Amino acid sequence: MKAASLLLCMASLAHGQQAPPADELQRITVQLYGAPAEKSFTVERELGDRVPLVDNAAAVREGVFEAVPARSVQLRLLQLDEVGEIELWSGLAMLTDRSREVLAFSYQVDDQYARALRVPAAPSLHVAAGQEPVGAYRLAMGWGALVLAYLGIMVVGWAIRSRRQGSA
Amino acid sequence: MSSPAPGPSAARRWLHGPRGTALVALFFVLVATAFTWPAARLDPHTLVTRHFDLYVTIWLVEQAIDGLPRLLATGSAWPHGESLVRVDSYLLMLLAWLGRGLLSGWLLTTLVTWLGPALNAIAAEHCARRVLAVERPWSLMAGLAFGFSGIAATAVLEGHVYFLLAAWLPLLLTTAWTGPAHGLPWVRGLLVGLLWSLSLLSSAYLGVLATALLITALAARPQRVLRLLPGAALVALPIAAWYLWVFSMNRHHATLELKPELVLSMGTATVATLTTWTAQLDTLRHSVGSPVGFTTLWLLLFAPLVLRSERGWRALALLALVALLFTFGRSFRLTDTSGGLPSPLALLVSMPGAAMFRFPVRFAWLFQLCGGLVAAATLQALARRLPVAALLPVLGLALVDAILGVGLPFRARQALADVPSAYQAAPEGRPVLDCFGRSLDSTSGELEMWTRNLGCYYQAHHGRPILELCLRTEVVSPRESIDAGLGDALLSHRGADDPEMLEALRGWLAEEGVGSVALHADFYTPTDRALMISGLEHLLGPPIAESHDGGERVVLFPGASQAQAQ
Repeated sequence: MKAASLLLCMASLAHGQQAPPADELQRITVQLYGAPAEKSFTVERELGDRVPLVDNAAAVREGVFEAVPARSVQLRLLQLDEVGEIELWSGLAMLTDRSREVLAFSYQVDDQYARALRVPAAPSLHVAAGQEPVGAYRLAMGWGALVLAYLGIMVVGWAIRSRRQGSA
Repeated sequence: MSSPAPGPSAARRWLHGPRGTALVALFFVLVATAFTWPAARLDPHTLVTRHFDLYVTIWLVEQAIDGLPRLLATGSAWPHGESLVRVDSYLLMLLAWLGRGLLSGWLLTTLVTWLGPALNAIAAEHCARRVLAVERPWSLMAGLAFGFSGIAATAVLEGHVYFLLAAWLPLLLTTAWTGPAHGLPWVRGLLVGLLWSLSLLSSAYLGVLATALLITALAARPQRVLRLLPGAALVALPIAAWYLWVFSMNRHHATLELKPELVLSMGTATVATLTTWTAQLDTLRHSVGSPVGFTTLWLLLFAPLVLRSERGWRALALLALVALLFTFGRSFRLTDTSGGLPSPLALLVSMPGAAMFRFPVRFAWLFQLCGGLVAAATLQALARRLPVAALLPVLGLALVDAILGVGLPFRARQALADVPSAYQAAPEGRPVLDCFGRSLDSTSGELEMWTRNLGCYYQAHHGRPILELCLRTEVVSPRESIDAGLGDALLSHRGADDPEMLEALRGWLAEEGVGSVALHADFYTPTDRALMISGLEHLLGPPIAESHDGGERVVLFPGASQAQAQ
């Protein structure tokens, strides 16, 4: 099995926050895409505190940590089921934003690294990181159609006037 | 007696006069402020970017001050230093060298990020007026398309800010297209040569694009352009010869392309990435995409209908479409995961020495320039028969394309610019060994590049030499080897309890000349972190400094020779 899992922890955009002083900490949102509906997940940070990942408005599993270092954070992603906890991923995430919470990285756990981390290469974990962002494309195509419609009307108007002026 | 109200001709004169030009420049600066926000805040604690290359770009700029004349950076790859013969942008380094004492690496790159798109837009707007005789305000269309494009956003997000020094392209096209003026072909020729050289020195890719523009101008206006070539060659040939000579020097310093397929895949466009931006594009594809802007695209496609009786635009439209096809690289694909139709560019990409074509998405610069020019001409042609009030909203649509369609303000991140203060306790003139630990993420190399570039960025501020190689992307650096060796030894079964191993490690570090060891504690798991700190204390003695600023915890230990002396 080439790839057991691919997790996406992504930024959420939270506007209107003041940038903290340079040596202070920041708030991050961890998001898990494509999680199976019947499974429960939580994220643990190195200090031992945990946040459960629960569906947000966009049906993406999400949890928020307050006050983490500005450059990186050690995390463990845990799946909670009837036999206990399964560590799906652990490692370091680089942070790229200190004023809006950001955790932007992708990590592929294949068999080799699963063993190295003593993580079960759980076949049940098929996180759909490669999901096509259909909503964004639909929005873009809608905008493109709107622009085309406006310009189309202009061009038709131009063609009618050109013909009239030409015949006159 | 009141003066008569200004008529259309007076307003037109005003719009095309110096005040109109100032107004256009102000407009583009305002758009650039929104486009690259918060770069305009010039906050010294903030870097506006998303990925890791801005760190090393700033390091490169700082190296230029001492390293440019000898093309050798002494801050990295201690003790020999690192050759600068194959840097991405000699022009950015030259600007840093000229502005030494006034412009720090942070300030120069932030100014280029903020004002580069505005200057590109101003140059493209000027080009539209001179090349296709597009009047204001319709010429703004060309500026919006070229200055605030998806490919410009990629340059900001990736940290390749030297690509924003692209104003030479429209200026080159203008100078070549309009040909010799006032009987001074030599002067114009020299100017063409200078602009071509500036494009090449900004980035090799821009040099290729400038050549494509010159060839197009030559094909469209052979009589005019031919008269410029002798003068142009006088400037361009020596620069090109120097460039080739420098590039051919130290071939062994060339970047090893161990993952050309990965680079090519990431460096190409798909229909999806030309359409819009997504979170996935920024997370998985390094923000490499180029939403072309529907207003530009539709106006370009309407050009054959609207401009059929006009002259001069066809060559530019053809170049725009060819450039757009080239952005797809080897195959035309709808999305990353879909199959594709083979492209003729596949032959070019597979040629030896054609590594630079492995980022074909950069041909989008040509599309945005030429497509924007033709779009502006189309808009003007529509305005001759239609009310101005009906067409002015089209400029608004182009503005929406630039801000929302490209989405840079929503995609850019504010990275911390501060540097851990613990470095200040490191002995001057002796190399610092940065320990980030061994990464398990070797599948993508992302974490290695983050740590490598962070170490180089820190070096630009603390000034002590480092063992890291800052300009390579695929070579295992001496810093990584020693870091991994040290970590493996101290985290092994006996770890710091083995006196023979500790002695061997001290000898190794002393042999490498390490003056201090900076442990980046946050990069280790809690267990490994405790073992590393206690292990390094056994090995080198107590820490000489510890800081919790600069976004991370850094524990600084003395070098092996100091530990032995103690």
